[in-house]
Amino acid sequence: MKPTRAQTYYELLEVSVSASREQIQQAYARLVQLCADQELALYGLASPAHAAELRAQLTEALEFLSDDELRAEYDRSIGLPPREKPASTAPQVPFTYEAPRSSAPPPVTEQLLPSNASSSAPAAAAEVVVSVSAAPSAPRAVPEPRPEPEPRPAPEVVVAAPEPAALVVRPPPSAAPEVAEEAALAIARSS
Amino acid sequence: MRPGRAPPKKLPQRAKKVIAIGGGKGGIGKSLVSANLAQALAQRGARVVVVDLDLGGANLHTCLGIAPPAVTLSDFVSHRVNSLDAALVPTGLERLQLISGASDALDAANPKHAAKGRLMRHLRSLDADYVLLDLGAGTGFNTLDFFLAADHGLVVLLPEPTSVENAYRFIKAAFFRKLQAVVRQETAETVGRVLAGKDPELRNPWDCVARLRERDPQAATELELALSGFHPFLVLNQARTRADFDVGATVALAWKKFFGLELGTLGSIAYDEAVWQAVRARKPFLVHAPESPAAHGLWRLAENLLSLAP
Repeated sequence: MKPTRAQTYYELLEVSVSASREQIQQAYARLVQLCADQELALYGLASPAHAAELRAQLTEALEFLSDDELRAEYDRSIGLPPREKPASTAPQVPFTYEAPRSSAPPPVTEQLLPSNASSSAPAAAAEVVVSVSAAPSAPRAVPEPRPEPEPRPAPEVVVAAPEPAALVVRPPPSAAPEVAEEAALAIARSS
Repeated sequence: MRPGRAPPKKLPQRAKKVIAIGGGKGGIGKSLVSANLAQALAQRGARVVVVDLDLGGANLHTCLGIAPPAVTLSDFVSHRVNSLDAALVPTGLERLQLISGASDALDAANPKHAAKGRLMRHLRSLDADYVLLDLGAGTGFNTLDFFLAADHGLVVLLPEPTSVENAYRFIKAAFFRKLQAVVRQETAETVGRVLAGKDPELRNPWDCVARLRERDPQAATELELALSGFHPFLVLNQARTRADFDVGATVALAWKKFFGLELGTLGSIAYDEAVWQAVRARKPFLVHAPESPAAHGLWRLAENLLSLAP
């Protein structure tokens, strides 16, 4: 595994390089929750400064990958071929999102009981995947490939985009964490 | 071979898998998970031996509804019996046997290292498909060493800040203990500082690998191998809300994001009145309340454990 600083934005957000904007935002929403002040999983694990640092990195990744131009520039910088334009009417190449190899808790019914307890035990083995990685899958289905929606207006970014020359394989955080957070909130509001 | 000395006996068939159940904090249900997981595996057709390694706090026999056995782990450690087979106790449950806990601390009988090594060798040689080790609370060296010596280590935690904190403490301690055995001291100490959040520049052990690679590639490779080979599994116990059921997965994700290390999640068990009622009845809750939510959660754990790669 790479040190965090050496990871690409895609690796940081744990999404495919072909991820849609929606998938990227969903991944960001899932991961940034880890850095929330009251997150139980953070207790005793990392300092507030460490959490803030990760939050800033995730936000930066979202900022770059949510903007088509920034993303295209970034992709070039890490050697990726150009993506198909979102406005293209050609059928989208099926998205090959690599589902995290993890076990999420099975969907919990209100009664916390499967309908057939004794017979469901073998089925339970099929529906609950043993986690072999740390990344949990959210209790939602893997998104089906679907045609790219109408292109949205570019998200409003409070912070000015950095100069293209500043783009490197994993550029250092270009904005103060609090400013980058504002950018993320603005993006979320605009979408 | 020296003249006059009997040739060493061949140890019987090797146990297929040794599973250690730890967690760092007392009262989180390690023994209940150990006893019931053993029961579930046995009901699935495996031959199981569950061993109480909770030094000074042995109560696995109570969870299984057995009177304190006459021969225990203590007798083996103290050489009052020569084979662990002599300490095996039937539980009344098919294919499940118990080795009850020691009444003395392990280190009271023999030098620690020799006693542990001998015990581990004999545990691995038990004629069973699964040997489950119910470890004691805390992060003492004996506990950590048995956790690391197992094929799979399970860490039990509750969806509460204190338990989460103790789980991390246990995992970090186990990881650091492992590093001390396989990498250079300086490297282990550096990683220890990183895990404790006391290094101003390095955030996680992979940062240590990257830095080491610049000046000592061999040490970097040693560390990288050690990092990749540490993979405990979480068991979330006493989940009361839907959000609680996600805690195990979230803890694993946080551990990965902040330290770049892998934690598995074996599953979650619901908080269930049937559990304490079963304890009062001195029976595994899998037997006392087989249709309870906790029993269903435990079954999922067992199925997931059975499906782990050999």
